[in-house]
Amino acid sequence: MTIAACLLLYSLVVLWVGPPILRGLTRSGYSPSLGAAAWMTAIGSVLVSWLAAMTFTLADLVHHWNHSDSVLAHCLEILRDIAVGNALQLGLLLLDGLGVTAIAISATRLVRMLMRMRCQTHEHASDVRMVGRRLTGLDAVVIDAPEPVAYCIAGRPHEVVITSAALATLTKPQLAAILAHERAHLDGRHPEIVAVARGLAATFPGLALMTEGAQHISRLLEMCADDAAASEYGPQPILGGILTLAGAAPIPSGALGATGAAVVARAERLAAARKTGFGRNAVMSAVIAIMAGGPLATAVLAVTGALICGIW
Amino acid sequence: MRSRGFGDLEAVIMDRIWDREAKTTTVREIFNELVTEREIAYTTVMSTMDNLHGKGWLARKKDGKAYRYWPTLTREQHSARLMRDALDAGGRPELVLNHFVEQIGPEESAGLRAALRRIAARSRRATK
Repeated sequence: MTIAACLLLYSLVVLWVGPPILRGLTRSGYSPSLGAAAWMTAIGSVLVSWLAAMTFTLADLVHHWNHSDSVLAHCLEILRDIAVGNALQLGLLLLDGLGVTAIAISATRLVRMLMRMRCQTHEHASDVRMVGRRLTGLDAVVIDAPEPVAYCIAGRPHEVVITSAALATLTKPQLAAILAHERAHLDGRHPEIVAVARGLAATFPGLALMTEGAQHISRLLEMCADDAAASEYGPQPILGGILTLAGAAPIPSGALGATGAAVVARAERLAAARKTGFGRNAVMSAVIAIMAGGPLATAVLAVTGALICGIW
Repeated sequence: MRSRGFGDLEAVIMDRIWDREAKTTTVREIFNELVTEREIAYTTVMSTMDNLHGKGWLARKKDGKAYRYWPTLTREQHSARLMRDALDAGGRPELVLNHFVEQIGPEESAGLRAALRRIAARSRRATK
């Protein structure tokens, strides 16, 4: 139980200090892959510590149970605990039960949501394959539509989708850069990462680390894909592509409108000369390393009794 | 480019049916077209079209011994539906697509485009 308590405490610390630190580190979009990794590690380390805490708690409960002679004896023991005023023990036991239940419910909801996402996304991909056309020499499915749009879908197999209107307005280099951008998403498994991040954000709407993390991860992964395209074709074609397609197909009113700020930030980044900064990279790598090792370190410290909560 | 496997036969057949002038078609007509280009069995075409009917892509009516098939929606109607789904992110939060650029509300797009034009112009001047 003490280990579990330490792990939960650790997760609370990450939930509390993580978002402001990561926001500051990743705002500029400098080294977006490291930035995205930092958010993902923070989220992952919270999840790992919850799961570990749950495992330790369950093991503890089972252990406790096995050592009592019978259920009746166990109940009597609890009653005795109350009688002698050991309410703290009982309170902690109740808290354990609630925590384990909450984690189990959240995990089920998350898995269900991810399965629905997968199902809907695969269905869209297979419909696109049916309705769209293939042009020789173009590694994408073309949909005849008046809105100039390009996107990619994770499916079996993955698809890059582009509308006939986008094909008509983009120049050849812009088109090549956009396709490279979408391929970079698919090769980097970005749609899957974004889906999990979004699922977590929807499962834990009250946790800034999850909700903000989902937005930042998707913003940073766009920048990653921009960099991949720019390294192949230079920054101008991808910048031109953004200019051509941004705001060209306004979403129907009533739908959730994203702010244009993220798109402008991407363009600013592509337009600006690259600056090297080992300092920020080093800080970001250190943050990632600390958070990746966090749950394990916490558990080890708790076992060795070095943490203050280990004394309980 | 990826070669089209067996699963893609459905797409090939829908392609044919959408691109036809005639309102309705039969398995025999589609088979006669396909057999000139690829090795394919009549029964394969028949079962694929039966599947397409089962999935709602084709409608059919008995005509003598055979069925006459026609598409339930035109390709354009399907395209419009797919674009609605792809663009209306609020309506289908569980559809995960990575858009090249985020979809922007109409009131914001003018300001966004102006900002982007400024950045692009500045960047072009810098590279010259």
